[in-house]
Amino acid sequence: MIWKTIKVGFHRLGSPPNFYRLCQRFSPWLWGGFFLCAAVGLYQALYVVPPDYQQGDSFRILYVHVPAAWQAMAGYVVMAILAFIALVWRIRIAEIMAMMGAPIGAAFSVICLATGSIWGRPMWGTWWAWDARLTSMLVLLFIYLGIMGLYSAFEDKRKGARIACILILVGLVNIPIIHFSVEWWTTLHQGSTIRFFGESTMHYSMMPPLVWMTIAVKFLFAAALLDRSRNEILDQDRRRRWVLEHAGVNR
Amino acid sequence: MIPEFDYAPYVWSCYGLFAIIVAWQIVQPMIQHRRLQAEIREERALTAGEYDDANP
Amino acid sequence: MTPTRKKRLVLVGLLVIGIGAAAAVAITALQSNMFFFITPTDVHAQTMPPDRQFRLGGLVMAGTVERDPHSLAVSFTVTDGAYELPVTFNGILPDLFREGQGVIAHGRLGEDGQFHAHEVLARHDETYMPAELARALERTGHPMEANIQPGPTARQRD
Repeated sequence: MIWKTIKVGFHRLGSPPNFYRLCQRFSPWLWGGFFLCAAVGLYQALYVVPPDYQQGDSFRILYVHVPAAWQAMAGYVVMAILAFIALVWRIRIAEIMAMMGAPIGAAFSVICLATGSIWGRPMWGTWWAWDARLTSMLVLLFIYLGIMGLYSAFEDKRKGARIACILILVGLVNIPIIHFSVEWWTTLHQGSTIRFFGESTMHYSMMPPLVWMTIAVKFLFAAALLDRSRNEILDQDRRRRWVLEHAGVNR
Repeated sequence: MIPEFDYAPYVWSCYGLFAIIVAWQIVQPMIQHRRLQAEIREERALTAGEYDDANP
Repeated sequence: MTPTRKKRLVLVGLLVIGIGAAAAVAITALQSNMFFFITPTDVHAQTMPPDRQFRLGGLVMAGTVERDPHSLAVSFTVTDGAYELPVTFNGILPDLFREGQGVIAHGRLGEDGQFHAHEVLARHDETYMPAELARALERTGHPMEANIQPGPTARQRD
């Protein structure tokens, strides 16, 4: 009984017009959530938090660098789950959302790599080093670009999406490599500050902006994902009746 | 108003880059949506035979 | 679940497990090449060919930093607690370079038993705390900066 209800619900959600409306309705709220959290987080990061004992004010870069890095990885896991659903159940909405996550994840990877580089110059003394953490993060960016390229290379969007979904699952191995690189090998990059098990090595007075910014980029990812998926479904279905009948084309 | 940091150029360029990329995530889907709507309107006009060459 | 879906589920599951296993094998095989730097203990354990470039990582031993007042030349000792190695360098040090700080020196081991670096990077730890708190801790006698004692034996490369 319950199983059936879930199934019917999924199919309703999975119908393009319903999904389109859903994206339209939720996207502004998610953007609102992003701006609210980011405003609090940025204010605290730039005005409230005291300078670090070793790194001075340069450590404030952490508040964009770390949330972006986490989101680049978390976004990938979300895409992998969607890709798994897409490959097994052939749900079109899951295919589209998995594909549309790639440019957003790539954007977060770029933020992470660029801010890390700018931070590394004064602190480490170099813009870049080929250590395991930095290299595996660069590989993540290339995987994101590969997914985007593969998807756009196919005339048949559904076929392209399925093949790119396989690439997403293949690339999933890189996520634990990024996370554990600082433990398995010696790296220029320092170990993890925030630990889910055990004590974090950041003073509690420096934590709030990190939490706010982390939540903010989660909202950003979700909002951008809905916006992009809505466009993609409109693009693919442009000759279908539901698009011609409504979808706000006239408005 | 603007806090004075040591390593200010490094800190501000990071926050600036973040702002630019976030703005792009908002603006790019918006532009694409406008473009798609225009294309769909045009195609619909074509099929309905109402296409106006001078003012598409 | 329909049989086709079950088949797809198994297939996709096998794909993920297969890739994971392949990656694990590859990483294990590449293990030694993935290390960004080696420690003075590693240097001691294996005799490095004299012309081979490598990266040496460790902490700057307290009281060993000597700067030449007329040039950028600097010498210091890198330790990992067990072994230590003297390093010479001629160039600009990163801002974080100080006694007790983690550093990575890139260069080669000379005939004189010293490590001649052409690049020195600072490695900071994962601790973040307000500067004022660190100063307060120092006043009360619990400084945050790692106090590196010389190793049990000041043995260098034989």
